[in-house]
Amino acid sequence: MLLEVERVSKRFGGLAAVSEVSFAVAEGQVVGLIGPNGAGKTTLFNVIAGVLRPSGGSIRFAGREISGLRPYRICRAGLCRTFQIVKPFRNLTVLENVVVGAFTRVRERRAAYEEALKIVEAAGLARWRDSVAQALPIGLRKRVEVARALATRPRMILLDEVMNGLNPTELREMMDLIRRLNSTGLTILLIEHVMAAVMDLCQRIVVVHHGEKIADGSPEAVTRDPRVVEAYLGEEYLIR
Amino acid sequence: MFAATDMREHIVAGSLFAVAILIPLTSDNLFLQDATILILLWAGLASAWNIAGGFAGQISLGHAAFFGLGAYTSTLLKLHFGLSPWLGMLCGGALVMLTSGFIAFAATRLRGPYFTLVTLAFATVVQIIAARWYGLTRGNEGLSIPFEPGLGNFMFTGKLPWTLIVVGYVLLVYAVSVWIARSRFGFQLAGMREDEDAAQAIGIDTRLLKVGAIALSAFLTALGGSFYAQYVGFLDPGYALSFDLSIKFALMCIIGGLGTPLGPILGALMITTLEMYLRAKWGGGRSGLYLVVYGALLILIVRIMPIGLVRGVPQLLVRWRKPRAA
Repeated sequence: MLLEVERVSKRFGGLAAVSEVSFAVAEGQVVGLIGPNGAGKTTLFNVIAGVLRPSGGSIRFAGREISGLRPYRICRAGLCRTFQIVKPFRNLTVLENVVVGAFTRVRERRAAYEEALKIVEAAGLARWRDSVAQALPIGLRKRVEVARALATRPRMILLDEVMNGLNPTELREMMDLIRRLNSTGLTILLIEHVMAAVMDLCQRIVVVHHGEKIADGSPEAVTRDPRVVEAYLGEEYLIR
Repeated sequence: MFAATDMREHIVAGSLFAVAILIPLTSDNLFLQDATILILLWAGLASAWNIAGGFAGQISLGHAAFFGLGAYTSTLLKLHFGLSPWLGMLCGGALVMLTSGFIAFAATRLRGPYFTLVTLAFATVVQIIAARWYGLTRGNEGLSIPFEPGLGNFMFTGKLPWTLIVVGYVLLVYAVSVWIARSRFGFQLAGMREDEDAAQAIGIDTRLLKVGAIALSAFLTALGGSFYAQYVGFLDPGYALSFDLSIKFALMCIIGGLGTPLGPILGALMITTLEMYLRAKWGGGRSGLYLVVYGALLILIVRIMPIGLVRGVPQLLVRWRKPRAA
């Protein structure tokens, strides 16, 4: 297992945002993390990525304990995340955004630019390479977010709602990108509300509700689970 | 970054340095010679501030403390131990590097205005201590450095050596800035400036970066402080550690262009010239009138060119060259 999350909890005062969640992601998998708003998905991401310290439990990445490490160390260990509310470097161009990411692994300016150029092209951002990030529409900014994370050469990437709010074309492009990345061996854990995309992309789905894991399995199994239907998907989903 | 304009910036900076060196060689006008040296000193100091405030986005209003600590260190070492101010300058730089590094480390979780407040509070404390610690600094009476010309004493009769030294100082800070703008360090600073959380998420140790940028900026500021003490020959907390000084560093960078190597130099040239001109023209008459005009002009400049001269002027030129068809 590449990522092992074991009985991880996060409490804010008396509120248990995440309680005793365990799951694991194997190398090369695409796993979806779903659940209603406020279920604790992003909190779980923040705990895994080192933004928040877990109140309990352990997180191992590639066999190494990473809970409590600061975010930049976790990224350097090969686990990189994107933000739900995108955080591009607003006044830098698309290419420069990715170059900053590339500099995490590369020291030479030329090498960083070369690597960033490849990633910008692979992410379908070549046309906007020299545009300032803040001038881009949300769909492209989300892609910049992904590209910048990829530039750090991760073994695994955490995508926080990179498909929400995209128009159908953008959505298709993003799904293609995710599939292509996965086919190169990148392991992906994604939070998503766009069910069609989740069902299509993920080999496995973890469902959380009120901070607890309520289901974990293949898309077919999860959509048939009555607890999941009640908590999140709704009756219509089952009928359809 | 700004690779396309790099050469143009170097040419502008190079010509300014050349003109500066020519002035003491060709003109007997002492006022002009003195103004040249002061403008260059300001250019170096503003450029040093720009490393923290511009490139790293850590807006400090406490750089007067680094300036003053540098100035006092070299001066006191000279007065009490007869140490050459050249060495004193390096001692001051080292002391300031440690102090600023410690402050940056302690304030590492504070962002934006909260960080600025810490720097401001620090500078205020340093100023009060310097004013009250009479035994060490002679308080507000100030310290005078005896005039003993000589290379080892960092003291000269003519203006040419001063000009050459200060050009060397600005060149040093400019070179450091150019290196930053192109290096891994500079790109990571830009990332941190734009979004600290995102920078951490892509593997950047923002704490280390912040401490490094501020210590470097403070070190270069301290060098300028020692030069000032030697050049003016007098040091008092009311000026050398004043809040006005900190504001001025920031202002010059904002006017010239934050986070660009050339910006602070242009900002220093513009502001110092403006200030000197207005003081000469209206300073004698109604007291304070020139400050009103000065303030109004600053507001106007920032209003017209909020992105600073370095980026603003080329934009303006492009707009003028294009026929107003659209």
